[in-house]
This record gives sequence, C-alpha cells and structure tokens, in this order.
Amino acid sequence: MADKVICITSGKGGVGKSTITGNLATALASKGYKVVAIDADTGLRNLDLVLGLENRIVYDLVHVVEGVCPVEKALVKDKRTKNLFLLPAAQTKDKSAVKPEDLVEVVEKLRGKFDFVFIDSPAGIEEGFKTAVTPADTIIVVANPEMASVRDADRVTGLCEAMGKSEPKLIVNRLDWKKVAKGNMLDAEDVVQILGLELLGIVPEDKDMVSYINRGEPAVLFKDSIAGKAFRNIAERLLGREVPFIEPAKNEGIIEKLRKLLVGE
Amino acid sequence: MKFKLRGTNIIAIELLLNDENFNINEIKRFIQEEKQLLKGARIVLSVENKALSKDELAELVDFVSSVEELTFCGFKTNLKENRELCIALNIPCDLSSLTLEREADVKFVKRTLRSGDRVVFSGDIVVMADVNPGAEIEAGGNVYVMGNLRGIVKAGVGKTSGEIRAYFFQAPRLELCGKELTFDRDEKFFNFRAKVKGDEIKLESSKTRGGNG
Repeated sequence: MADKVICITSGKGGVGKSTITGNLATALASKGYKVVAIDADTGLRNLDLVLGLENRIVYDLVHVVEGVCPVEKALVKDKRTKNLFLLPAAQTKDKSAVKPEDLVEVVEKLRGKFDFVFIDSPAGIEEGFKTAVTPADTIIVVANPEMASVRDADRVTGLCEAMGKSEPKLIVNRLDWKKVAKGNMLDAEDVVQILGLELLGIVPEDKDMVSYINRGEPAVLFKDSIAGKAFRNIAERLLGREVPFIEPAKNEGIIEKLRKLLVGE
Repeated sequence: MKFKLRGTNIIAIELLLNDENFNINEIKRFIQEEKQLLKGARIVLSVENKALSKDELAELVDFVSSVEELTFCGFKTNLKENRELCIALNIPCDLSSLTLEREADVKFVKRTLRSGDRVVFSGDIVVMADVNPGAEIEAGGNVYVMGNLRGIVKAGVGKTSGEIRAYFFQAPRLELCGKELTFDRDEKFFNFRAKVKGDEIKLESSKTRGGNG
C-alpha cells in the first residue's frame, strides 16, 4: 500500500478532523490492519478524547521528539480495538515544539511497523499545519457544507499543491439533507464543484456524535450510527474498494415525503 | 549629468533621456565612455517629455550611427511631436505607450486559482480553469475565465475600456476600468460578460441579474 501515511486537515477548525481521524483509524484497525493515529495538534490535543484514551497517556509526541523516550514507549494501545495505537500530542507545549523534519523522522520509524499512519493536523495554515502535512503520502481535506469551511479547504488545497503534494481527497462532513432540501445548506455536489477534488466520502450529520465523542467511543464501532456507517465506507475506499455513497434515506424533508406519498413510490 | 541604461541585448539597450538630463554633448561623452561596455549592442534612444528639434534629432542620429561599436535601432518617445519628426526623417520611432501595450499581451493560467492565490498581469489574463472564492486576479487588460468565476477580479486597471467574461459567475464584486460593481450572494450568471462602455459597466448573460430569467 503506497498511501500509508494519511494526513487529515481542513484549514478551518471544528469541522471534524479529529473525529474523522479517530473513526477512520478505528475502522481500519477493527478490520485487522495495524494502525497508528498521531495527534499533531500540539497544545490543543483532542484525538485522545475521541478515542477515549485520555487517562492512559504517559508520554507524548514532544517527549519523542526531544528524545525523552523512544516512539514505541509513547504509543498508547487501544483496549477495545486491537491493532490501534495513539501517539498523543503534548498539551503543555505549542506548535513550535515539533518541526516538520521531526515528524518526518517519527513517521519514518512508524512506517515500517504499521499498515496505516494517520496524522491529525491542527487547524490553521501555519507551522503546525505544515508539520502535519509534510510526512504525508495522501492528504484528506475535510470540509463542512458551508462557505467558510469550503474556502478554507480551498486555501489548504492550494498550499498542499504548492508544497508539491499530490492532489488531496475530500470528505464532506456533517451534511444535513434536510437543510440541503430547504436550500439552507450547500450540497456535497456544490462543495465538490468548487474544490474540484476527488470525493472520498460524505458523512451525514448525526446528532448522536456528541455523545459518542463525550463517551470516548468512536461512532464507527456502533452498527446503528449513520455517521459510523459513512466512516466504515470511507475506510473501505481507502483500501481501494468501491462503495456507493450514502444516499439521503428516510430522513427526507416533508415535501419529499409528501411527494412519495402522492406518487406512491 | 547622469544617464541610465535599461533593457537587455536580446531586444535592445535603451538610453533613457528626458528634459532634465538632455544635453547633446553630455550624451556624446557618455556614449564614448561606455562604448566598450556597450560593444555589439543594439541601442534605442528613449526620449521622455522632451520635444526634440530637427537639428538635435539629426545630430543625435548622426553621432550614434557613427559609433562602430553600436547598432542604432531608433527612437522611443512619449511625445507625438518627436514621433512625427522621426517619421518625417524616416527614422524608426515607437511611442513608449504603444510599446507597453505590445509587451503586455496574454497570460494563460492553466490551473484552478484557489483561495489565497493571486495573479497579476499587465495584459489580458485567460484562466483555463476555475477562480475559486478568495482568489484574486488583477489585470491591465481583459480577463477571461473558461470556468467558474467566484473570486475577485480587477480588470482594465488604468484603462477606459475592457471586459470580463466567464462561463459561470457568482462573485461578491468585480472591478472593471476603476468602476466597481457588487452582487448579492445568490446572484448567478451563465455566459457572463461585463463590459465598460462610456461611464458604466454593462452586463450580459444568459440569466438576468436577479437570476429569474
């Protein structure tokens, strides 16, 4: 697999980078692949919360970079999902503590030992972003279906291209078909049309996500979670399989429901 | 007296003259001094804001033509009088503004301009892709977008006529020949064309401004 090292970025904050990183890593690990998720958001770590590993962190990425401990010692093993490891970010340092070449070195050490290395990028386009993107083979840009997020994703895409990276792939996160039908939200198609990137997946808005994150349980582990299903599909696509995109199912707007009732579909 | 040289020998070296430094004897001395440096060069005398008399012109031409090291190519000027005089004496002469226009032709941009990208060019700009929200284009001439135009375009900078064309247009504002036009968020146009004629910007498109037609 050439695309081992995958960086998930977005430009804008709060669009779901850490959630997507945590869920994709869990999805691939539960399929039997050996996966490590690196939290590159030094100073604002969150990936540990998404994976429910916050109380097990002893060493972090900055300790590894500073030579306090070897990278193997800093990895936190997930108890629920075999084969899943987390390399947490330091909470007490800032982005300048990890330079691009430092992360490249860490990733090179992990590359041989894992099937997939995920890097959770910080928001913004400054040094933290550059550090996170530099070691990546594949970049996934996350955008919410709203203009501010799309514009930031566009900026990040331009920067990745300028860094000589291959064209990023796109995940449209938190799509609400009800709002799209009412004309209050951009459709995934609009986002794809503006960004011109290959669509890797659409994650529907899922009101249960907040509780999954608060409980530290990735949605992907729950069969009845619609977002979890979307994450599993994206994981399949990362493995090179073709999976159809999730369609708006029973959650259509009232007009659509009425139309179906009248037409009798 | 100070004289300046400009340009490369691929086209020609310009000797910059104006009404402040114009003195035929000084010019002669400068060329004599610099002729080793300029050996083999094609030279153009660029005369700005100084109307030459017939005698001055003839004297300059005679002198520069007589320097063996140089190839005299003609004059460049921003004054019509000088140009007319040159034409009367059968000496090549270009109006400098004309030269500027010729230098500035077309720039092709073959990739999508993304948020944060900025392209500036003195002539026309043709984008063979999209211009996304947050990208900026500034052109001395016209701007043609063979895709979706959602970014900010300034065209016809410093000119009195020009146009912006796009296959699809949905941008918050545009500027054409120093005139600004703003659009509402949901205003979309297909086969969009903005053109300055006289004092106002004229819009043409397959859909009307409100997007109902």
